[in-house]
Amino acid sequence: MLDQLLQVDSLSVEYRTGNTYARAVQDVSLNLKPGETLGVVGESGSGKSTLGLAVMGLIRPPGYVTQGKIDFDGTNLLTLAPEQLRELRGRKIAMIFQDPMTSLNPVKKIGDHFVEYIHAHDSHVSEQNAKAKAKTVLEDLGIPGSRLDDYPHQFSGGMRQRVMIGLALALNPSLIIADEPTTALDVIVEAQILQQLASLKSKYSLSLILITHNMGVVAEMADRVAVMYAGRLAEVAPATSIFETPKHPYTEALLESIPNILASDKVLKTIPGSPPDLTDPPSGCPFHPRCRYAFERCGKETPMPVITGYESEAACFRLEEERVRHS
Amino acid sequence: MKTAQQTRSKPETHSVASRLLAPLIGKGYGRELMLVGIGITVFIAGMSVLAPYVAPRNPTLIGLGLPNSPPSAAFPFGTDQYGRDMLSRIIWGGRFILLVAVAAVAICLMIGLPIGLASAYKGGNVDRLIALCMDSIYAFPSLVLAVMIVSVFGVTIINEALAIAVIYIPSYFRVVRSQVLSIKEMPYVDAAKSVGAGTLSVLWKYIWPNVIPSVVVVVGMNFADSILTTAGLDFIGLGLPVTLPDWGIDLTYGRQSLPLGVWWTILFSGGMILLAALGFSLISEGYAERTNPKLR
Amino acid sequence: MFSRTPAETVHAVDGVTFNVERGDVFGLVGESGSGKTTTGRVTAGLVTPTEGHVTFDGVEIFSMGKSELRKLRKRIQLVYQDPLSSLNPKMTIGDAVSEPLRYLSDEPALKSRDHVSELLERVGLSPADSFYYRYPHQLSGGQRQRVVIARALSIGPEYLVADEPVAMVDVSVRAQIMDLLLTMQRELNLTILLITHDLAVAKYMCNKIAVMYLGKIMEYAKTEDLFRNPLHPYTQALLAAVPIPDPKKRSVKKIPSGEIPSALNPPTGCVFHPRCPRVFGKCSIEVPPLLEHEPGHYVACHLYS
Repeated sequence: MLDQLLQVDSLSVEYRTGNTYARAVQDVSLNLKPGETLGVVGESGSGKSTLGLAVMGLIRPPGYVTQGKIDFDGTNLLTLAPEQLRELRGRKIAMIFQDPMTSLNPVKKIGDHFVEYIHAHDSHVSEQNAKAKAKTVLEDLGIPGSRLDDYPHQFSGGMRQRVMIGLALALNPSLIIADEPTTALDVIVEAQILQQLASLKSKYSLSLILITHNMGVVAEMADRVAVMYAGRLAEVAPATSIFETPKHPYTEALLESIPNILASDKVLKTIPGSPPDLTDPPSGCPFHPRCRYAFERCGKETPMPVITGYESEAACFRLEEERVRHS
Repeated sequence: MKTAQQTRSKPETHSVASRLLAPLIGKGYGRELMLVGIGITVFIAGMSVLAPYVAPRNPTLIGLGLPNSPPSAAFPFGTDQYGRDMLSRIIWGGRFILLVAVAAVAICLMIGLPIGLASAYKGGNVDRLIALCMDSIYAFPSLVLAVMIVSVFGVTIINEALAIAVIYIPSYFRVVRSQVLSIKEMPYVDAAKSVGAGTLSVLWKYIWPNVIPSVVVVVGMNFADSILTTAGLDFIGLGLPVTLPDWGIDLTYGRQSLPLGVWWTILFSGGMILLAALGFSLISEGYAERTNPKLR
Repeated sequence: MFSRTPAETVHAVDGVTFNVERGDVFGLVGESGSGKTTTGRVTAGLVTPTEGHVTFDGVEIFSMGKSELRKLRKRIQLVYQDPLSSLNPKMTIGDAVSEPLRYLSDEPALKSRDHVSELLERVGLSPADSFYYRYPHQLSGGQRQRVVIARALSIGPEYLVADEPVAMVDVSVRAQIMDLLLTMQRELNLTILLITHDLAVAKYMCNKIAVMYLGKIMEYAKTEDLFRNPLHPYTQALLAAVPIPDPKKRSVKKIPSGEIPSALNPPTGCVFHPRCPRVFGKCSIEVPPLLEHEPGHYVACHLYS
């Protein structure tokens, strides 16, 4: 455990509006090794995006981090002052969001975006050098250097997202958090970008947290997968084992319900109900109203993750009962 | 399904009144704002309507007490320079102002709403032309126009109401138009048309109900603005005949008497004007806050 | 038979021809700018084509008179993509579902509360009474989509155009909605035109699929034929690009470079030629016709002509 790049311990984040509050992230513990791709999967309300924002230190009121530690390379990010966090952001950890359009200034050339971004972190870098770096990074992404003088509207959606990835790479961070980076893109462009991300990862020695609701994307890209549901961690395991032998009923049910073009004649098993309202979640295990294995304890207590194998954990009482039976 | 079992619903929850009142229920500070606003408004309206029964004395009688005497047990709001009871004057003083406000809002609703709805729904060059006209009127300062109309045509409730309405109609038009423009592109309007709903049905059932929340906000602001404008006109002497009690007029007197150390006239008349305007503004603000985040 | 040819300055749909048989679940698959939504709306009679004909049950839609069109509206209905914006936020569920009946039905029995309640039960919104007076914002995304489906079915249509019916529904709920549509299709002998960008959804639900690109049909065949033997390079690219939820199936894929060109300025000849890995001389000059390569399997590609 000593060589973890990122270690999240019992993190909880709440959103408060008026007199209601929603527990967007509850007691989540995760870790990431250097060079690893961790896929964080979940649906709406799972807390996956909030988790990403928390690591970046971007939780603002009405959101509050109510407990936990985020240990990055030996430092607890939650204890850092705003200036220190700003230093870290970009240089060590960078984030990519779903919609590149709102992140780019329409009246600024792409090259200038890079210069501004690099200068914000190190004002000593000359404009020339900043642009040279931009050129290198963009060419790695398949965008010719000549396009540094173009404006955002002259780029297509896929290109803009590549620019965002380029910006994220500009300061050589060690960790990139990508929140639904390809969700708004067409299938073929998505595949292009995922391929590029994978090759860039090795070239730039990156670790990647890939947040998505798409199990296919996760299967293609992730070394390990964390499944979240209603703000809690349902299961964590290496990609190979989680798809083959999912331990958590939610993971299992989810995998059985999604269509797969390579699995001929797969009959999809539906999951009853829908993801819960976070301001009024079910008692005990948040998945229990929809779970085919639920028993009495599930509605009363909330399961904590138990170890189920090599680097694998799942939060389900059924697993505990099985362990007890086996011993 | 858990959600289904959790909520019961009552048949009466879909009446227009309950839908309008819905924002009063639930969380968020908007509710408090609205309640305070409604409280103030009801209080002032009630006071004005029930003035004959509530005012302790005749507000126009001179010499009831010593002129310019400060608040006392006999005269809780003091007296003005003619020895008239300020408390009674204040109680009666809102009537004209409120009547003008009601008339102004009524005219705006009768004219501004339909034009906004029809023009925006129809779209095209006609709509753009009307919008252009409305924008030019919008640029006009309300008090100036009010002064112009009143000086030429005389002071009556209708004239003042008209002056204010003319200035405010563009606000209604704009707000309604921007709502309609975005609503008419919504899939649910499309769905209605594709099942054969005619223009009137679409406007009445689909567009109008979704426009109401923003109209309520403008109505609130309209009232507040109107109160201030009418009081302003009275203040500069273009208002009612001098003998009738009116907050604006008392504000003028108050200003004149201030150097003499008479602070109560200006305080109570000015205060009531502000309070009335505030009441409506709060309703408007609170309603806006309640109806927006719900769509999150 | 549905057929349609060139639109105006933007060739949203260009020379599209296909047949949908009664009882089909016909998939129109494509990425953005493919023209699939426009095509779907044309087949429902909502968009008038610049050229071409749409024939519904033997009758040409766009030469119908007013009363005939009204009768047509009863037989064709739409299911929209975004369950939130396709329902009037100020209308109760019960009212929303009975709207089509209000305008299109002459039978009072159908407009009754009981009929609507029955419909709600049928689409899985049970108990119907607890949903009747609720508003869309009080329902979950999946429940809203059920309402949209109930509304579409209330008038008893024969043909349903479903535009991305599960794209905006939570992943764990998608299977429910897909199954609901398929069940309704079976029980009511519906014909469905399913518009989607998601090949996996199309494979699960459709018996025939047409793949569209920049306003044209690239390939169209029975589902099993399309997946077993994709002929068009674009179809092959799409299939290679779809992320598979199975890490064992990870492979080095050959993805075409570039992006979909603007519909305002489409490429000459075959619209896919600038990105096609198997392009040759003829492709940039001549538009490949849609030809039947195998029985029931059509492809528009010079490689096969």
